[in-house]
Amino acid sequence: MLRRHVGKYLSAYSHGELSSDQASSIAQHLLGCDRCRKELDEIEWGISLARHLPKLPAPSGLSNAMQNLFQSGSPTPRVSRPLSFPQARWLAIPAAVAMLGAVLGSVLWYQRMRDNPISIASTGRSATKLEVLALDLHMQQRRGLQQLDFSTEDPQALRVWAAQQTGLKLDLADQPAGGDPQYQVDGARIWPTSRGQIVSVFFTVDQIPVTLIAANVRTVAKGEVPSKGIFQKKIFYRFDSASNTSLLSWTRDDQSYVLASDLPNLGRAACFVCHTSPHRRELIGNAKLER
Amino acid sequence: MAFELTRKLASAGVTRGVSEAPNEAALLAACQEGDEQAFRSLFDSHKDRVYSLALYLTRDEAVASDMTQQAFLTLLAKGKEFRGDAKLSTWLYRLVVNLCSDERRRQRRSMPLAAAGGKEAMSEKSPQENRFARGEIALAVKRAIESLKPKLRAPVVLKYLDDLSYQEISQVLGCSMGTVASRLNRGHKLLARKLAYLRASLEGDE
Repeated sequence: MLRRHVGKYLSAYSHGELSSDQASSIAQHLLGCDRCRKELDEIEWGISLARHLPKLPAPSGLSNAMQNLFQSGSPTPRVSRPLSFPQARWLAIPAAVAMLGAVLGSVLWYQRMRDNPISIASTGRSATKLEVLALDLHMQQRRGLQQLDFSTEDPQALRVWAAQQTGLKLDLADQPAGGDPQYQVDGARIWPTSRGQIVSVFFTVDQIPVTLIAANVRTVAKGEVPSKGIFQKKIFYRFDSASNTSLLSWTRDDQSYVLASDLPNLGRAACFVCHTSPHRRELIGNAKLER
Repeated sequence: MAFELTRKLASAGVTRGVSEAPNEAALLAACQEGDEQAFRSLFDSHKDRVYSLALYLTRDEAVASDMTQQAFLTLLAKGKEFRGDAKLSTWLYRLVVNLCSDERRRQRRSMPLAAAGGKEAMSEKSPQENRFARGEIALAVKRAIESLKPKLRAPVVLKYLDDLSYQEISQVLGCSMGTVASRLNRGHKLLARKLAYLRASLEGDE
């Protein structure tokens, strides 16, 4: 029987990639080693998950594109050659037209920006860690599996708790006195990371689950902090069609946020939990999605 | 006691490769002579797996489509180098892995979260299973795998996309079988920890 722990061989053992002698030595070791048995259990759980890896079908247009390339008779990848001087000279006119267009475009863009100080832009960039966390937690919330460090229905109590525990400022609006609550707070959880803490808040709007993630920008990796926008407040929108979830990301006052919800209309109703001023609500509600 | 992974030449993967190779070599030769039907057949039989691998590695639909095209174009251009002693798919995977490495070096950025959605997971469901739960699990697995570092993601995807043996994975990635084993081990552990919350529901269903 092996005396040393066999953790690093356990995937190969489970996949039947070891010789029968090696497999039998490991099996013997496992009989007497609680630690390695636990590790095997974890790896086998990982294997059973990985077996659900979906195959992603190639887009239908790809077959036609390949067929055309094949028919064109030039299966070798094309390499673009540098332009000679006479060819380059003819590019001067389109370049001048393009520059003029850019100037006109800038003027129009500036005018439009002044009309609405909020920009919602559809994002095609990499999903950030905050967005992935928000989506995972939102799926847990949808199934009622969210875990809470602090359970409360009172937004004020939650604000105080989050500020004390993490230093993060959450502007959740108070519920109207005597009226129907506009949203229902469920509670929050803190996620410690090596750079700082992230807080996730779970609430519902019209009984539809909403997950809010907030973190100080120093906690978020540099390239993953959503731009605040220079002239306009910038909100980034991403729709996860597989889970029907809208994700809104933004940065304000040194904090980055992600809102994940199943609410319609880009999930903007979730923004109104913090933005109570009618003017602000109108601006957010009317902001158009830029693709 | 030191272990070495056995070279399981008789394992299903390699045996299948050797038996398929002559047909694929013939198909490839026909493609190079301009046989459109042969190309269609070759492309159709590999396109989904090649595209899937490219999409998991790049996490970008447009880039994955480009890489799939590029891999097949390279296959046609360099087809004469295919000796038939391994599976054609393994060769294609290696092309994709190399193209993705080049792309990553160029851009150092990768892909949108919902690029391909989870709809593909739905197509393999058996009617007896809970469709919603299964689709959700596949989606969570897809996301968790996408969040792995590229060097852990590649062996996991190759293992579970096409059930490659450790030896085949090592050929595709150009590393030793020990490295494959170690990366898969780390990949499995990370998946298990990231998706620990699914355990009750998944084991409950089973």
